[in-house]
Amino acid sequence: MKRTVLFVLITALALSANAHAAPNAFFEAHCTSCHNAETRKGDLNLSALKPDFADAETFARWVKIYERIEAGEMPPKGKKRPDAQEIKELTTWLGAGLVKAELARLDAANRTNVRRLTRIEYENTVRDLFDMPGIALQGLLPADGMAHGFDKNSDALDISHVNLAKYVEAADHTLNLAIATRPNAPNMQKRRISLANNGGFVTHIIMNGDGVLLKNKQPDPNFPPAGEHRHIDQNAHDRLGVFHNTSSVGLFRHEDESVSPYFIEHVTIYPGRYRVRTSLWSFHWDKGKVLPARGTEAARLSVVQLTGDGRGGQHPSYVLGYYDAPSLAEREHELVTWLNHNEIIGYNVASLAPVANYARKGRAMAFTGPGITCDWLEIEGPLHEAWPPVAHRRLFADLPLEEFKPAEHMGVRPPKRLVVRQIGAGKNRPDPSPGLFTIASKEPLVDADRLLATFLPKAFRRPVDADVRKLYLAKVDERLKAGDCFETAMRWAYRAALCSPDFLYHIEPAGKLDDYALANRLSYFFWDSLPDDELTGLAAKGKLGDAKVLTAQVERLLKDPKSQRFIEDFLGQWLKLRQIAANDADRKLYPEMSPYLQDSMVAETRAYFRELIEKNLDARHIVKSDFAMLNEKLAVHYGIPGVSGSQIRRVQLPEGCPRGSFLTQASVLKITANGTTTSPVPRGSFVMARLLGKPPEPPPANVAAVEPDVRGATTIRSQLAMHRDNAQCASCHAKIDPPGFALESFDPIGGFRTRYRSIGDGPVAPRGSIDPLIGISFKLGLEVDPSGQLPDGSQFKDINEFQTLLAAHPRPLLENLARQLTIYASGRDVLFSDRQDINDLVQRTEKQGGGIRTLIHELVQSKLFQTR
Amino acid sequence: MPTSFHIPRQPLSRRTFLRGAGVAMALPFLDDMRPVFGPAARAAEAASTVPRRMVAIETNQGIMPQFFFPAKQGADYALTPYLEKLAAHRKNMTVLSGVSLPGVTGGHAAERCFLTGTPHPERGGFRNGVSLDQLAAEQIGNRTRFPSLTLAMTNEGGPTLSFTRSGAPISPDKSPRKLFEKLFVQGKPDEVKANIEALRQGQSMLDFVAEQRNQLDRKLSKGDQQRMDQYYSSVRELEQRLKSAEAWEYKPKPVVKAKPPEDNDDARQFVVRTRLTLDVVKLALETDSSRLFTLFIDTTVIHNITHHGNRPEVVAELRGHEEGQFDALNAFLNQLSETKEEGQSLLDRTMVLYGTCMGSANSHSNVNLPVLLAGGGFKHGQHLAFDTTNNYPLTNLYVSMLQRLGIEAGSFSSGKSTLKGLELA
Repeated sequence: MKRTVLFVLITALALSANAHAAPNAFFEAHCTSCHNAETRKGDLNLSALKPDFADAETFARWVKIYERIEAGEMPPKGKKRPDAQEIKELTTWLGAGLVKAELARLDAANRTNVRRLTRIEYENTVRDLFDMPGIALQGLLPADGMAHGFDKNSDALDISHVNLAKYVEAADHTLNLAIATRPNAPNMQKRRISLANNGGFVTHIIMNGDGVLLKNKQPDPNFPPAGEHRHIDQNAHDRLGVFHNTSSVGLFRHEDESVSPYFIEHVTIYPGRYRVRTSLWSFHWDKGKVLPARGTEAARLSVVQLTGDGRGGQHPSYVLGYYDAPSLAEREHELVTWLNHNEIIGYNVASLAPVANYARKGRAMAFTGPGITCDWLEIEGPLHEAWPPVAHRRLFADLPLEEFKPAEHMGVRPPKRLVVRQIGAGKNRPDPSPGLFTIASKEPLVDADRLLATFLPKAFRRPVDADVRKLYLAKVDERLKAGDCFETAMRWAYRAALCSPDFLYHIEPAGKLDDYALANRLSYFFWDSLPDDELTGLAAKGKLGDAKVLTAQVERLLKDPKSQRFIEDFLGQWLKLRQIAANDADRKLYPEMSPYLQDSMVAETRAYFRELIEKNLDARHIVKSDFAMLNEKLAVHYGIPGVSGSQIRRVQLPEGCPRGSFLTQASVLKITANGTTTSPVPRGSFVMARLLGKPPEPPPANVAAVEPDVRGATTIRSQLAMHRDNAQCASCHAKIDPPGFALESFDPIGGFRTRYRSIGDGPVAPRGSIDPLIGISFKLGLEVDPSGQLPDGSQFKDINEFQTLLAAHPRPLLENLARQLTIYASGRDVLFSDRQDINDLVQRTEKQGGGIRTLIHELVQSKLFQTR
Repeated sequence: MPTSFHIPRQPLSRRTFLRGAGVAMALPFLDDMRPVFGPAARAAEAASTVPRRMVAIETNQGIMPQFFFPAKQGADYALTPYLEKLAAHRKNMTVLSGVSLPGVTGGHAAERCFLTGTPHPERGGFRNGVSLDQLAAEQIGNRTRFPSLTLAMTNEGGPTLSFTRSGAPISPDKSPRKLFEKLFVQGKPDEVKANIEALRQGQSMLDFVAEQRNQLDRKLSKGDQQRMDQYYSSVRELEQRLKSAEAWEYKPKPVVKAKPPEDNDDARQFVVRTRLTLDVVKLALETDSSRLFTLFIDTTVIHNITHHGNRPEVVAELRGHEEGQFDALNAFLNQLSETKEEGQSLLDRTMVLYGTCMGSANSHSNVNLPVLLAGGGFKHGQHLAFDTTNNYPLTNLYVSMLQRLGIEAGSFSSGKSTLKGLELA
């Protein structure tokens, strides 16, 4: 009887536009004994909470109530459970009311607000538009914000005059690089250079015994290793040509010992693609003898931007990669990379421990340990398949470059040319100046119109109305009449285009996306960049609405190397990989941490996600895996034998090994620690928010945080226990802490541990896999207790059992990934009213086996992706 | 199988932008929408807050802590030998102890992080971040002819305290004479003309972009159109800034009575050279040519004696040099406090930060940095003593300084709040 009344009430409420009364029977029966005006448990007083869903704050509270009831978390354990029918009725009533209110509040047509390009999108768009894959623009632009976990949301993408001034600067820089100013390509130069050069810093450290010159895999007889006496008078050696006798350079000193080796004799003059080759091998040095190495070592090549006068300019650099150096056997490596003006190639003996001999008595002759040899490095370039290059042709098509003779152009200002100065000690030299060359046009306005008609739609990523083009054309005309030459006048228009909202913003139609907008969504989802000709062509033909065509395109985009941008950008935010370097590992506690290990951690996570997509593996792999993506550095860190070399590859894990999954990857474990200690709270909270899609409530403002302690007397767990005894804390921490407890088996750099490391007193710690040349000062602390209990009562004794529990319920993992991908791909938050769509998406994916690539396909086919 | 793992260009890459690669338009960094000239400008100026300025100075070889840090904290600390030199300004300065830049280590390498606070300059893969003055210049630099001035007193290539957003160093002006010319001697007519033309083209371009709003609006919903307001107001704001930059080009440079200084190239005479530089800085402040200055004082010439090993005669020699520097600083503070602007002393409107990244040069330590802040309109007159074993972030002082400059900033680099105990006057 009672239920019937309630049902009538609910039906009436659901139909009523202004529902002012909630189904009080349910609340009175199950809720208000705690959530009343007096007790106000969890600061919730249901008698005062009106179902006024139009108010944003009240709406948010009701969503929380909905979620807690639906998840079965409320009423809490120990109280009488409502029966399933009661719950369904209540959530149906509440859900309908919330959806209705939300839809009324939203701009029905646009959930994705108009937004500008992120700085990553901006850089990639320019790179692809002009085929200048290494032009560096991102660092110039102010950092973007973040909303709903990602920077791709319009709330995160404010614009100010500072951004705009930087966009103008970036447009100028882009055009400076794009426009060809010579009739022929710069001469291709090929140069083989040594790591040790006259006047170079590597030479200096070799003289102090931090490296040796080698010939035929023996110490160079003309330059014995530094011993009791160091070599003096670098200038004299320079003059003797010691460093140009084609000796190989064996180095012992790692960059973490305050050294930045680079190949100083190539300083890039002409931006462009360069082919870089090098020959590497490793050895064991024993006080003057070259012996077989302990295994394959790895050297790192990087790009270094020289600044200032070029001396000591080890300023910003990025890593090209890590390259194997096998024992006593040269291995040649080759890559093609873009180099900007004044960029050089840097080097590091990445896999070695940080040691230095300069202060050692006896220097190199007293040193025993590993070394890496670089025989030579060869740089060839700039490589131009055609001249003028693509960037130039994008702007000026096939118009000829001709010499500008002022006498023939009375009253016309010549184009401006930059004087670019090569700094540093480069032996490569600029070509002789060809004179002043510029683009010649016989019919400037006809050419301008034709060029703009190609360029504007490409840059704006959709068809451009003729009247807009005419506005640009009118400006070109105006500039020509004002005395600009053709190049300068066109440049004016191109600069304006690159600073216009048509270029800087994602312009999408309201409601369902048209084909062009869809092409853009696809390319910015998978490439962080503009659509290529194939996508644009399909959009022009209206083919993207065809599900089969769309599927084929997703496959193609994912196969393209540019999809690595998606992997990096998405993981950088979903799993916070961008924060990998936010906290340094404490050097006393974790002396084995190194830049090589850190880069390998990131590479593992990216390779793993790539593998999940390629093999279409299911969401359980987020927390549990029987394989891992490893190189030697990681394998040693994880204690997995049999992996040699720097390259990341798929490794089948031994039975019972918890590694492989995101949950247990060193990158995630490092990001969720502070470098010195771990805490189950941030780690548990990361697992809840980023993997399970249940972000915990922020702590109440008046609760003190737990003070970490590394003296060894107490564990974080026992400290937290006190915390959890407080009833106010307990309800949330019962959910947050358990994943963190399981992850206590991993230290702040992701190493497995059964006991904490301590800087206080304690037994001597075993070295484990730490390099013998690294000093150890930490002690063994207390034992780790990785056991715990999930809120549903299931217990786990260690990480493996915890993984098994999580993997038993793949649904939340898949649903969370669906939400994260939706936010990333559509540039908007997932709202309450999207629940049904998300649910459908997940179900469709599950029906086809639950693979992650399937999920991506289904997302692209869904309304979530295809409407604003 | 490949024998390497390749890292495609990292999204984190903050490689430098080719500054000086001849950006065709000389962009002023800033502007605050106020008209710069004319009666409206004067009225606006009068109504607005007082001009706030900053001079940040680092001496790179340290300051001997035993002669700098007072023993007692609070207002009634006893002056130490170095602070004795600044006794006249005791009420108008705050002495800090127990502060350092978190993670900024590496001995001498730390010197380039004094105003950026970017950790670990000693590591091979280091990239610097934006410096305090350059961040401020983006917001307030347009109010003066020079958004900021980056100075160094050195015979070396280009040590600098100023770094762009991408972490690229800004080359300093090293010659007081050339600085004087830059500030007070009119540029060549064709250079001025070229600058004006570039600025005009910049304005015209922005105008063009803004005029197309109707065309774009046709494609946008009402909500989108409103959201695009932010873009269009940024366009107008940048246009204003270009306009004011153009106005500066027309405006003759200020005339000062002082004669151009003669440069002194003797590295050993760094005290004399510091005075020469600071004299020009004072003129620049007085004429409101810029409000943001950084000065790197390179005393590498005395590097050997900073490793004094506590030998009394060496300590005495070094102390003599360092006292000379404090004398020079005192002379500068004297000049600023004697110069009046709208009834206030220039010092009251100018924050003078003086310090070093070398807590003790003898041990190459980068903790417990000797630092003081004079003037600028704070409640001064005290020694703020923080924990000497667990240092307080100096970058918090930079947050306070940004706010004093009128910039809404809650954090800067590793600084996440304003400096505890330092209040606005």
